[in-house]
This record gives sequence, structure tokens and C-alpha cells, in this order.
Amino acid sequence: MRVAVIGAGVIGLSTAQSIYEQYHPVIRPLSIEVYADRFTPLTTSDGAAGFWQPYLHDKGNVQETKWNKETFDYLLSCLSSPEGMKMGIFLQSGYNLCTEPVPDPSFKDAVLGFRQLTQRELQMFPGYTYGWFNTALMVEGKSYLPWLMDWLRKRDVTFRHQKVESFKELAETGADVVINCTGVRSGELQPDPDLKPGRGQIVKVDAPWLKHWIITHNFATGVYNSPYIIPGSRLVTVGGTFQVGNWSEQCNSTDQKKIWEEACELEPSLKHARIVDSWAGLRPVRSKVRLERETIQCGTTTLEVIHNYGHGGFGLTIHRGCAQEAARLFGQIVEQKGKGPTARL
Amino acid sequence: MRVAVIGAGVIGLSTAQSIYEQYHPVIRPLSIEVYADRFTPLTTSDGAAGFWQPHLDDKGKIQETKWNKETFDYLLSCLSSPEGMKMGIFLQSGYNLCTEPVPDPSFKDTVLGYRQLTEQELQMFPGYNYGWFNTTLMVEGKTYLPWLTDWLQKRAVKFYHRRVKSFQELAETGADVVINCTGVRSGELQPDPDLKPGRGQIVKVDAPWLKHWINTHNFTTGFCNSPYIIPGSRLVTVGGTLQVGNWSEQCNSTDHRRIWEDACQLEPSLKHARIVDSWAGLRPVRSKVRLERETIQCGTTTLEVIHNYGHGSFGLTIHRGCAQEAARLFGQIVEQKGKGPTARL
Repeated sequence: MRVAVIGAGVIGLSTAQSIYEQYHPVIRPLSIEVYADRFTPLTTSDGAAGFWQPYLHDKGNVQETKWNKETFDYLLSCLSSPEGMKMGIFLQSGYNLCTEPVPDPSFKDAVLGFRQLTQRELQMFPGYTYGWFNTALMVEGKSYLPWLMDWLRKRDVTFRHQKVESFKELAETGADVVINCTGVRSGELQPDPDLKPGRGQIVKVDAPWLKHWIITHNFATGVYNSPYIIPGSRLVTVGGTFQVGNWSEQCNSTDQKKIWEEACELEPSLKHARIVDSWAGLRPVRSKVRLERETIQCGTTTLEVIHNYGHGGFGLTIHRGCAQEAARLFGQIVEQKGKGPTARL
Repeated sequence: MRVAVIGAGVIGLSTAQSIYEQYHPVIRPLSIEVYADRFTPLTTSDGAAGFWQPHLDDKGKIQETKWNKETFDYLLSCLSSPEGMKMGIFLQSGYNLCTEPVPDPSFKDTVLGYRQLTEQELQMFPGYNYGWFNTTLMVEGKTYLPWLTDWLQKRAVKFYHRRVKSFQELAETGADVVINCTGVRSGELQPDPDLKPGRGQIVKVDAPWLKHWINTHNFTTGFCNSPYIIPGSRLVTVGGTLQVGNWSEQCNSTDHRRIWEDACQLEPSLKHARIVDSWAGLRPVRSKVRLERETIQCGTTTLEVIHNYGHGSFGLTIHRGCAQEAARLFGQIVEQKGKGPTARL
């Protein structure tokens, strides 16, 4: 069976991994190929801070909450393995700050040591009157993606640096199943009015004395439109923009100024930090993740597609749960193709 | 009035600061001089990790517990000032791990967010089944001491690079009050069988993905003789030795090997860390801090001495409280010298 994965961000690579893990023992031959026009370190996953945290409100989306938790538990188990550090995984604690009391978030039992902030702690953050402290995981794309690619290469997954223009193109090369992990640009393969870019601009600074992440929440301006400061393994990611509908991947000096001023107000020691880089990326925003099968007619052939895109600002947070679900959907396809009275081959 | 401070570690410099702050407005002229044979970055305070934490058990020494708390509150108030970062102060959270349940430590209400570790957290540390999580402060000697030196120099405090051999020597130069902050080598000025070196060896490594300190407690091997890992602003301090009576400031390869192996077992990702440096220092260990006055007869003159030494492994932790107390004792001397019927001038 030939599987073509489109997209080499965290979603594409981890889905390839889950399919290999679950079906390589079972299906012979199983050929997996990854097609992408951008590879690490140029994907959206590479620019992201790598901070595991879902949105505060899961909007009743229990599937996504389950996939988030699966991902956290998976990453936590990797932490103690010898591979953990090479995967870019490490623990980090920090502060979620709000301007008013809010219900506990969906992830309170997934993370470690979740608790309310004390008065003394809140005094350190003028303007914020409520919040939580917890320990979460970091998984940095710039380490995780190379690690995943290496994992896949060792298992004979091939990579093709190529922009796929249509599902049909892959059907014509003989692919049996296509896994569509094309993130924010999924609309180019199949129009999806629910998918929009959620532009985020960040600054990367050298401030190694910062040991906690600080995420502020402003319900007036919306998710990630208020300052956040997330120390990474070497640099600190400073951000706070979420511009839906803006396709620009160029850095904008108005955004830079706002991000920087707000972050310095939140954490005054940043004034002593050396600015190293800035970047703008497009979160693949959707009302919910599209993770489902679709059977597409391409001329005389039938192509099975598994869509796995639209992970907004929580791709790294949810990737493993989604990859495992995509592999489960793949399993359905395998059953239908190989077994049962209605097998279509 | 002429004040001579002997010692330019955190105790000497902070005591000079407290005396200046409290008496400079009041006594004219007030001349403060600091004498030392070692200055930053060569003092014991410079080599220490800079981690605020007293011993787990204060053994009923409520004065010391009070001075520790005063120091924490003082440093926390500095954190939010523009100077905070230049003083080498920053927050860091972490884990205190024990092999058996222990009573809550004296500092539980001083630090931020103190709580028991959850089962899930303890699973990350095989061999440890009890412990606490809290947020505390770091104050790094290599930054704090230069900041204090600069603060003092701006206020015309003079520094003399010189080894003082006796209190008498300073009496002969005309000093009215001597503040004895000579740390582990105080015995050279006045024998003190209660003062002993508590040798500690450390390794400094580059491991910037570590964002929490980890302190282990082994009641068999004793305080500080089991591994600890304390990330600093740039490097991580790895240690775990307290050898009472050992005066060697040379690094020992047996100690190095044990420290490193124990730490890697505690935190396996350290195997990927680059070792940058190693160092051995002598904690000024004493059954309790010696912070008291003494009137010494030097020939025909009387010299007032304030002793402020013997802070063991908690010099940075307790320094401000002790400095303020020393300044209070200085105030007593000033009263006796300048006012009252029995004034001796």
C-alpha cells in the first residue's frame, strides 16, 4: 500500500509516524512518502514557541480535549526516555494571568500541579487579578521536527521536496491513501471557507534569566492577542498577535512595537534583553480541527483522503492525539480495502 | 566616625550598605572602608549558585528564620524595581525531593506557591517519594556583588585590597568600629572552634533547557551531600558535597565523578550538557551565625567589633536580615559613643 502524506510540519510528520508505528507490522509492503514545499526549519511548527497549552475554552469540543491530553501524556512519557531531550521536550512552569475570574480550563488535570495564583504572586503582575500556576511541557519544533524526520528516514520513509497542486496528481502517481496535513494552505488543495490564517508575529530575545512562561488573557481582544512571554531552550519567544484573515508572513513594525512595549510592561527585565530575531507565521485557524476521511473520485480511480488540518494555535499541543486518530482512520481504510465483502481494490 | 568592614563577600558588602543606608543621614562624618584580600568574582559568594533557600530544619533558631524571611521579602521587592535584573535577582521554581515524609520547612510561608508534590510529579523522580514544589528567588553573587560594590563606590565607600592580620592593625589606623565579615577564615583573626569549612564542589554546565531547580535531601548522607541541580542565568550549577573540616579549594576528581553521576541519574538530560567549569568553595559552617558585638582592648584603645560570620550554606539567603541587624548593633555603638552619661570616645 502506498501512502502519500502532504505537509512536513508537526502534523504531517507525526501522522506518518503513527501510521508507521501501527501498520508497518501489519501491512506489507507499506510505502510512506512525505511531500512538502517547506521543511524544517521553515514550517509553521518551527516558528511556534513550542508551548503545550490548549485554548482556555474548549467550546465543548471533547474530542480535541482528549487529543490534547493524549499528546501531553505522550510527551511526558518521552521526557524521561533517553530521546526526550533530543526531541526538544522539557518541563517549564509559569503563569496564566487574567483580568477577571474565569472557570478552570479544560487542561487543569492534564498539566502538572495546577493551582490558583496566590495574592502575593498576583502582586507581581499589576493589572491582573486572577490566574493559575502550573507546570507544562515545551516541545520545540526546531528540534522535534528534525528528530521526527530522522525517525522516519531510518524507517525508509521518503521525502519529496515538491509542491503538490492537487490530490489527483498523487492519485496518478499511484498513491492509495493521501494524508492531507497542509495546514493553513489546505484551501489550495480543496476550498474550505472555515479555514483562515491567524497571523502571529513574535520577537525572539536572549533573556536566559527568565525561567517561567507568562501568558496573559484579555477576553476583549481575544486569544493570543495580549502579551505572552515563553522562554525556550535558548531564546525567549515574545508575542501577542492573532490577526485572522491576514496572510502576510512579513514582520510588521507596528506589531513589533506593540508586542515589545506590552511585554516589557508585563516583564520589565526584558528591557535588558538582546533582541535576536523576529518572525511572522500563520496559524491554521478553523472552528474545529478537520480530522476525517473523504473518498475522492479522480477520473477512474478512487482516492482515499484523510484530512488532518486546522489546528490553529495548538498544533504542537494536539499533534499526537490527532496523529493516532488519523492512524485509526487509516486502519478503517485498510480494512475496507483488504478485508470484508465490500472490499474495493 | 570611621567604620572598617573586613570582607567583601555578600556579608561584608551588604552590611556596609545597611550601615550607610541607616546612618549616613545621621552621622557626619561617616567614613566606611572595606578591606579584603579577595573581591568578586573570587569570593565564596561568587561561586555559590545564588539560590534562596534555608535549611529544611531551622533547629529552633528563630532569629535566623526571621533574617531569612526579611532577605526574601527584600529581594522580592527589588525584583520589580528597574535595578532588579542588574542585581542578579530572578524567580525560579523547582522541586525539593525527599526519600521519606518530612515536616514542612520553616520557609514554607516565605516562598511563593509552596505545595506538596503530586503523585504524577513524584513519578518523574524515581527513588524519591515525597517533596515540595515552590517558587523562590535566585540572587547570583557574580552580578550582585559588582552591583553592591558599585552602589557603595558611588557613595564614597573606599575599598582596600589588603589582608588584615589583626583587629589591632585596624585600631592603629584609627578605625572606631570594625565589622568582621571574614567568613570561613574568621578564625585567623580570632580563634573560633565552632567555625569550620564546609567544602562544596560544583560543576557548571550549559543546559539551558532546564528551567527548574531540583534539590534532593538524604537524611543519611546529610544536608547538601546529595545531588542538586540549580539553573542559573546562563549556566547550571550541579553539586552535592558538604565536607566539614576539608580546607581544600582544589577540585577533586572523585568528587566530580560522584556529583556528575548522581546528578545525571536525577536528571538524565544532563548527559547532553556541555561541562563548562568546576569549582570548590568553603561554606563558613557554624552551629549558628555569629552576629554580635564585642569590645576589644587594643593597647590603650578600645575597639568596637561587630561580628557577622558563620552563615554556612545560606549566606545569600540570610544576608539582608543579618546586615540590617548588624546596622542595628552599630546604632547601639553610636548611641554609647555619642550620647548618654557613660559615653566613651
